[in-house]
Parts: sequence; C-alpha cells; structure tokens
Amino acid sequence: MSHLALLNISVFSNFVAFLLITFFLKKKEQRFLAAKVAITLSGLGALVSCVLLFQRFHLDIALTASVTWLKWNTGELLIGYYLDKVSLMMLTTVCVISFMVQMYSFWYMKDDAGIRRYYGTITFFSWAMIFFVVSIDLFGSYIFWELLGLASYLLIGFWHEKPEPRRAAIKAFIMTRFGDLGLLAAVILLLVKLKTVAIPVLITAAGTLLSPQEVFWIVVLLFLGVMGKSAQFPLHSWLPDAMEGPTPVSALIHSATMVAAGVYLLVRLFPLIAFSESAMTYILCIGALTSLIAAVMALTEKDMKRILAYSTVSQLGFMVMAIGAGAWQGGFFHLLTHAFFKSMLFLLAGYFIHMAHHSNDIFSMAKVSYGTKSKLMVALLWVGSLALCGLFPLSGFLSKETIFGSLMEGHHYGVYGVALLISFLTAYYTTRMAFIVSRNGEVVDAQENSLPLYMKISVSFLGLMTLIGFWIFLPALTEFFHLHSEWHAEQWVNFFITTIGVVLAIGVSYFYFGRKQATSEKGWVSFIPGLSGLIENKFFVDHFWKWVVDKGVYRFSRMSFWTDVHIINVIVDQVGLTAIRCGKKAAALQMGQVQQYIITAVVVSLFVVIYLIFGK
Amino acid sequence: MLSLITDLTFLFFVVVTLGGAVMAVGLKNIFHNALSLALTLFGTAGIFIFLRSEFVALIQILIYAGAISIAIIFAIMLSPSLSLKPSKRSVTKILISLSVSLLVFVALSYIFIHTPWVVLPEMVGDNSVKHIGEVIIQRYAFAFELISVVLLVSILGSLVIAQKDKKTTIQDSPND
Amino acid sequence: MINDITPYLILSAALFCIGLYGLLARRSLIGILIATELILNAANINFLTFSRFMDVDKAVGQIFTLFVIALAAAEVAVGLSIVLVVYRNFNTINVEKMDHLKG
Repeated sequence: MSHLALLNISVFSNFVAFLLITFFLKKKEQRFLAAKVAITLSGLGALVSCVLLFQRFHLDIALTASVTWLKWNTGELLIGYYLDKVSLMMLTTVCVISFMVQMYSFWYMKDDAGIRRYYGTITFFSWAMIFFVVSIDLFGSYIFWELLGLASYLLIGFWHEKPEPRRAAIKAFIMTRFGDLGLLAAVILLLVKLKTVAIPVLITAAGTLLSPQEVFWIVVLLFLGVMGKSAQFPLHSWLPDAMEGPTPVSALIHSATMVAAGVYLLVRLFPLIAFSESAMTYILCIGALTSLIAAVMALTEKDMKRILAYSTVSQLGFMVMAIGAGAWQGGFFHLLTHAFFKSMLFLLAGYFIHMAHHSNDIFSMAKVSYGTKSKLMVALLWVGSLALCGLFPLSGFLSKETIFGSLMEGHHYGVYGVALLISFLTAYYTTRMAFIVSRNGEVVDAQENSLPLYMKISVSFLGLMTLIGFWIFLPALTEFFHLHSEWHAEQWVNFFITTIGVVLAIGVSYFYFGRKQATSEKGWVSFIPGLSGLIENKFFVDHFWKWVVDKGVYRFSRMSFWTDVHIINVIVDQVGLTAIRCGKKAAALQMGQVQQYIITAVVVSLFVVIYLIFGK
Repeated sequence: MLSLITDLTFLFFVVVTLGGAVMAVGLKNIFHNALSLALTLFGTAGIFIFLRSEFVALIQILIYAGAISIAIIFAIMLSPSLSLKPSKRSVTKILISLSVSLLVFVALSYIFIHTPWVVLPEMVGDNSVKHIGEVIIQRYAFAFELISVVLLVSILGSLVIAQKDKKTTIQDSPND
Repeated sequence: MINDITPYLILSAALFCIGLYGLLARRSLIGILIATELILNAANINFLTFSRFMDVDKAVGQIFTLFVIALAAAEVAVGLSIVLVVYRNFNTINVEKMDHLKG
C-alpha cells in the first residue's frame, strides 16, 4: 500500500470508530461492543502508524498531500497532510498511546454506564489530535486545535452529574479559549502578511518574508495559544483541576497528547520562531517560570493525580524552556519520552486509586497492603517515577540529558542552573510520591480478582517503552536529534552533575518519606517560612484570575448590562414606539373617504405642476 | 357676417356644454343630473364639429348621448331606490371641492394661455372618414381588437357582477 | 375665435374642473359616474383640439377619441353594475358611508 493510504488509515481509523459509535451503536447493550470497536480500530491505526514509521523514517522527503479548501484572489487555505520526520514521530506516539489508553480504559470504565459516550468522545479526540499533528495548513491545525479543546471539555466534564468536574471543564475550556484567541490572531496575521499559512511555507520561507518585529508579535500571539493549551504560566491553573476527569483521560489528554500540542506547535514552527531573538527569550522565561512554579507546587501535594498534573505542567514548561533556549530537538525528544512514561504513570495512578477504594490521596494509598498481584504495578510505578526523575538508563534520562547538553553547548548557564534546580525538585517530589504510595499498610486492597491481561499489556508496553524502547531507536534518533554518539569530557561532566543532583534529591526524599519510621507529610518544605502558604494558595494565580474576572470581566459585564438597560433598551424602545405612533398618525389618514383621497392627490399633483412651471 | 354667425353658434355650443355640465353636477335630483349629462354630450358633439371631426361628433351623439347617457337614465329609472335619498350636502365639503377645482382651473388656464402654441396652417392633412378607417384598420388594428375584447369582457363582467344570484355576495363586515 | 386654439383649451379645462368638482363633492355614486363622464369629455375635446391645430395626421386624435368613447361605454356598464351591487350590500350609494377600510 502507498504511504498515503497508510496515513489515511491511521488518521481516519479513530474517526470511523467515532462515527460508528455515534450513529450505529446507540443501544445500551451495545456499549461493550462500542468499546471493542473503538479499541480495535485505534489498534489498527496504531499498527499502521508503526508500519509507516518504519517505512518512512529513513526518508528525508516529507510526504505532502493536500487539496485547496478555500481560495480567494490573494490567498488560499489548504487541507491535507504534511508528514515529515517530526510529525511522523508525533503521529506514531499519539496513535500508540491512544491505543494503549483505550485498551486500559476498558478495564477502568467497565462499570461505568457512560462507557459508550466515553469511547465516542475519546476516539473523536484521537482523530482530532492525529489530524492536528499531520495537518499541512496552520488554519487546519487551528480547527483541530479547537476540536481538541472541545473533546477535552467533554472528557473533563465526563461525570457531569457532579459539580466539580463541571466547574473544572468550564474553567479548562475558558482558559484555553483565552489562549486560542491569540493563536487565531496569529493565524490571521500570518494570512494577511503571507497570503498562506501552509506549514511547509511557514517553516522554509516565512522568516525571510517577515521582519523580526512582525515575527515577534506573531510568535507572542501564537505562544498565547500554546500557553493555554500546554498550561504555561499564568494560564496553567486549569490543568490540575482537569484531573476531575476519568484517569485514563488524564493519561491520554492531559499528560501525553493534547497538552503536548502546544509544545508540538512550537517545535513545528521552530524555524519561524527562531527568527525573533526576543520572542525566544520570552518563551524561555515563561517556560522556566512555569516549570519552576509547578515543580514547587507539587512538593507538598497529597492528591496523586494532582502531583502528576503539576509534574506535567512542570515538564511541559521544561520543554518550552528548552525550545526557548534553541534546543528544539531536546524539547521534542523529551515530549516523546515524557508522553510514554507520564501516560503510564497516570494509568498506574488509576490502578492505585482503584486499589485505595477510590481515594486520590497518596497517604490513603500508603495504608493499603499490596500483595503479589500488585508487584508488577509497583515496579512499573518506580520505573515511571525514575524516568520522570531522569535517571540512567530510563527514557527520561535520554531526553533530559539532551536538553542539558544543548543548554551547556549553547552556553545558557543561567538556564542550565534553573533546569538543574527543576530537575532536583522533580526527582524529589516524584520519589516522594513513589515512596509513599508503595508503602505497605494494613488496609486490604479493593482488588476483587486478577487483573485482565489487556490492562497489564497496555501498562507494561508503556513501561517497556520507558525502559528500553528508546534505546532501540537510539541510532536513528541520534542522527535525527544530532545527539553525540561519542561522549567527551563535556558530556561526562554534564552526566555527573545531573545524576548527582537527581540522586541527591532521591536521598532527601528517602530521608523524609522512604524510611520505615518516616511520618512527615511535607518534608523540608515546612522548614522554609512562607513557602508552604504560597503553595497552599497556588502562588495566588487563581486569586489573580479571580481578581481579573471580578474587577475586569464582571465589572465590564455589569457596565454593559447597565448600558443595555438604560441606554440601548430605551433607544430601541423609543424607535419602536415612534414607529407605532407614526403608524397611528398615518393610519388616521386612511379615513376611508375616497373623495378626500382624490382631493389630496389633486392638490399634490397641483403642487407638482406648479413646481415644474415656476420651480426652475 | 358669416364669422359672426359661426362665432355665435360656437358660443351657443359652449354655453350648452358648460351649462349642462354645471347642471349635471349641481342639481340635486339624480335624474336631472343624467338628463343634463345628455345635454352636455350634445354640446360637446357640436364643439367636435368646430374641431373638424364630424365623424367623431356623429359617434358622440350615437354612442355617448344615445347609448351611455340612456344607460345611466335607464339604470336610475329601473331601480328607483337609486334615485332616492338626496342627502344633505355639507357646506365645507362643497367649499373645499369648489376651491380645489377652481385652483386647478386657474392653473390649467394659466398654462394654456401662457404656452406659446405652434399652430399648423389650416387645411393641412386629411381628416376624411376614409382616412380614419384606413388608419384604424392598419396602424391601430391591434388596439382596435383590444378595445373589442375590453368591451366584451366589460359586458360579461357587468352581467356577472350585477346578477342577483347571491352565491358570491360580499358579506357586510361588522361596523367598527 | 373658432380658429384659435386657446378657447377650446379653456373650454376643456372648464369642463374638466366642473367634472372634478362633481367627483369631489357628490355623494351619490351615480353622480360621481356622471362627473367622470364630464372629465372624459374634457379629455376628448383636448384630443381633438390638438389634432386639429397641431397634428399633421388628423386621424390619430379622432381615433383616440373613438377609443375613449368605447372605453367610456365599457366603464359605464361596469360602473353601473358595481353601483347596483354596492347598493345591494350597503343599502346605500353614499360614498361617505363606505369607509370599511378606515385605518
């Protein structure tokens, strides 16, 4: 089969599943069939995308296929595919993780009445995400970007009968929408300036056609969209709240794929972004700030999903920071590895929450006694956590090391220091979570019978990818990401510094949480005055937004309301009333007396005649 | 002498026409109005002769005075109720109508008098009946046919409207 | 006097205005019909006047007049039947009473 046909299959398999579930498998007793259809088709998509990866990765030419969607005298919009190495890797990652998560979800959601709706939405999401990844036109990307927002909204609010998910869904939707406005403005600006927003054009020629000033503003607007979607400061606060959705959804959407869309967009348009030095600095600063704040936020968190959510925000900030420092290969590599181990961690979180009788609290999980059946899951939890720490030889190490290497090479020593600090904090809070969760308590776990095989497979596959997956691909990746195949002194120094930092963090974590007699909840954070309060108040970001909404939006709304009632309404009413009064007056002329009509007609025509004779 | 006689004859016809017209609108009895109309039509026919249109004058007497006015008179006489109720006239209405029509008259007269008419020399052109017949059959054949259709339709229409069968009678809506 | 255009025009104007007065002042439908006939006659006089004094082809004005006479016949036929129907429905032929379309 041609590569285009393969691409079509992997893009549209999820969409076909969505259509089938939405229009044909409507009955309640068909809900498991709907789930199986979704899993089968997304499995097919994942398989085909893997085939595509192996067949195409050595090719340097991008696969493009597009049709003109809209054309006007000065420009045009396309719809179609642009598949180069970056989008190919992203495509495979999204397809595979989507498949794994859907497979896992069958175990997690089997008792939920809304399983059909769940699979319908998640296949829709997968389709939108995949098309977003391979879209050739930035405007097409924008459309799917918005569809992602919609799917995210639907899935966060999946349990809409409870108030918290509803509120979280609305918060996520509005905050990301706020950013999307920026993206739309950027797209429109590009359209106005370049007459086209085709990605091949943008990444090859855009920089030469635009002045650095224009690029700066476009990138700032574009980055506003990224800030919303990828939860960058100060638009990050929706992501921890988004954990109200089902855990597999958090794994797929709010850690591995959708939130990565913003970072992916930055990677995709990196040649354009790189044209503006100041925009890069801006991105760098925002990324570093986000990463640091989120890492600090995670230090004392007790909700396992929220810890992971903050770590996601932190890691996304880390990627953005790397891209801002010019190390886009490192950022993108980290995006890929992070997608695998973070989705695995979330899936495991789902498992542990289930075991702890549906409590998200890590200290409740600590009280549970884990039997032999849970050995695999605990082991995988450690694999994922250590990958998140960036410890050799796990996948997180590879990508993190790439970023550190690039930072050092680019002489970004300040950023290097910040990254080191973030790395330290990450290792600390991740192992804190792992130590506490894997404690063996007395409470009997909630596991009724042995876990189904497909659930084990899905988690184990992600674990395998974390352990050795990227080592297998390392030769190919080395070439693409320009990694150093041989290590020199610089790399060794780098390796030792980061590893020592991580080991140190793990040691501190062990001291507070790992020992048998450890009772601390917050660790060393409680010794630093003010920090605890700052974390509890979430760095006042939510307060800030509440203030903005109260002082800005609500005040403006009230003003608009007043204007509407006291000015616009009155004007409109008076216009209407005037028309009615005029009508009443005019109706009186219609007196039914034919002869008076004739008099009027005659007099008027007389005046016309007089005007015609004497008027000139 | 001859011109005096013709002038006097002309004046006579003018007086007959205008006097008949005044009586046709001024008298209170509708029957007298109709008779005065016939008088006016005769006077107009006389004027037509002065306008070198003898054939039209003849038709005027035949059709207008002979048929149309008689039809009106018949309608009045055959349905006596129509001639009843010579209701009182309101003075304001008469005054308004009078002033409006006087104004129109003044305006028209002003135009007629002050327009520099370019009059052709006498006896130019052929106004024989033969010529009229040729023109009406040749140049105005279509209009001629159309007029016949209109006449036919109007006769049928008046029969349909006036028939006593009540199926299509318009119902009197309640007075508001 | 008879070979001058103005007297004829003044005459037609006078006839027209008398007809107009009747049209405006009369209450009886038949009176209005009669007034209309007067106006038509004024028009006829005008047609023939301009035909005699200003047109080379004398037949055109006369043919117009003939058409007007034919149309007047049709008009009277229809008008009278309308008067009858109106009387049947309203029990009056006073136009001032016919104001059902008053706004």
